[in-house]
Amino acid sequence: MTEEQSQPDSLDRRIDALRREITPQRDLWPGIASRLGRRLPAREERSAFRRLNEWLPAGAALVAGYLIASWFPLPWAAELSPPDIDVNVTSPVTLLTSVQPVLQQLPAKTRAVVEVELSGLEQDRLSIEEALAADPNNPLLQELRSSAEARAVSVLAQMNRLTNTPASEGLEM
Amino acid sequence: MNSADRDAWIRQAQRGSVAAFERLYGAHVDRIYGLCLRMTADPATAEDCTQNAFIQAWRRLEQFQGRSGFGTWLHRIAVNEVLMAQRRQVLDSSGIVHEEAAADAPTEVGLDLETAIAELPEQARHIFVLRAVYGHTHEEIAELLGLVSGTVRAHYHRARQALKEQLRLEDDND
Repeated sequence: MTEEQSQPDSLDRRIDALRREITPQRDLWPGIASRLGRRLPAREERSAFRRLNEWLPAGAALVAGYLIASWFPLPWAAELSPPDIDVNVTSPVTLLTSVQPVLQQLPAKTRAVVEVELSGLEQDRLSIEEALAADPNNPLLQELRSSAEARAVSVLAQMNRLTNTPASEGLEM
Repeated sequence: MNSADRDAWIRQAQRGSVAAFERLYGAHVDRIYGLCLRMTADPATAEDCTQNAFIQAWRRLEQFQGRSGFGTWLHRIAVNEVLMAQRRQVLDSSGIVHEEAAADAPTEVGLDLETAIAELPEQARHIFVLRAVYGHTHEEIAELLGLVSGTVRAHYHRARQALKEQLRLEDDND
């Protein structure tokens, strides 16, 4: 018997009477729905990157990673070595357009998944930048921009991980 | 909502269905908001935490393996959101004291107790709400709040004593 059970008192009775569920005074769903964004199903996302690992030549992955890094003004982006392949990179670049040469090397289904993700990133960036242009000090918009940057960094990290995978471990050179 | 429905909604949401996630939201929002309101003692902060908890749940849905119940999993995310919100408030150094929390607390049952809980010190309130109202064990609370279980037990005991004293005073005044 616990300490609490051994001392049934008015406090316990009052606690038992408390409602565990309380309805918010306003509908919170619209605010949630507007911030959900797209999320790739986990299996497809993992599958897409696994296929990338199987299909994407290391050099092409480096190009893609570099382009993504240049898309956002990441503080460490300048430290990245430019790709060996001759690519015209202008900053800011249109992400989806820039990685098209890489995407074309992917199987159709994988390419579709990756394109959805990249397209979403690009749309998010555009809408955030538009809003920030009108309201540059808005902390919510700044947070959203940080979040979008973090997502881009995540993609970049995935790509960089691919480039760091030795050819003997599955990359086709 | 039966368990088959819930499981189906979770699977659909994991595949990207916002509609299924909205159903999960509908099934859990009142409990999550209740938790956030009692932990924060502030309706506006509780609303923010509730929204953030569901957004985080959506983002992490792929990590939900079903080893615990979905409600339990969501509960943990909500507790984390409350802790982060209160850390942000400390960092902001706004010094906001939620004097109006008691007035906005649920009014139908146990108003005195709700008021007394809202007036507990923050950490004691967190521990009391998680233990007494939502049934977490001391060990679970220790893990959730990053404390040792002895500290949790001590805070919980002191919170109970404080509430008893306060409620008795109010009873005497009645």
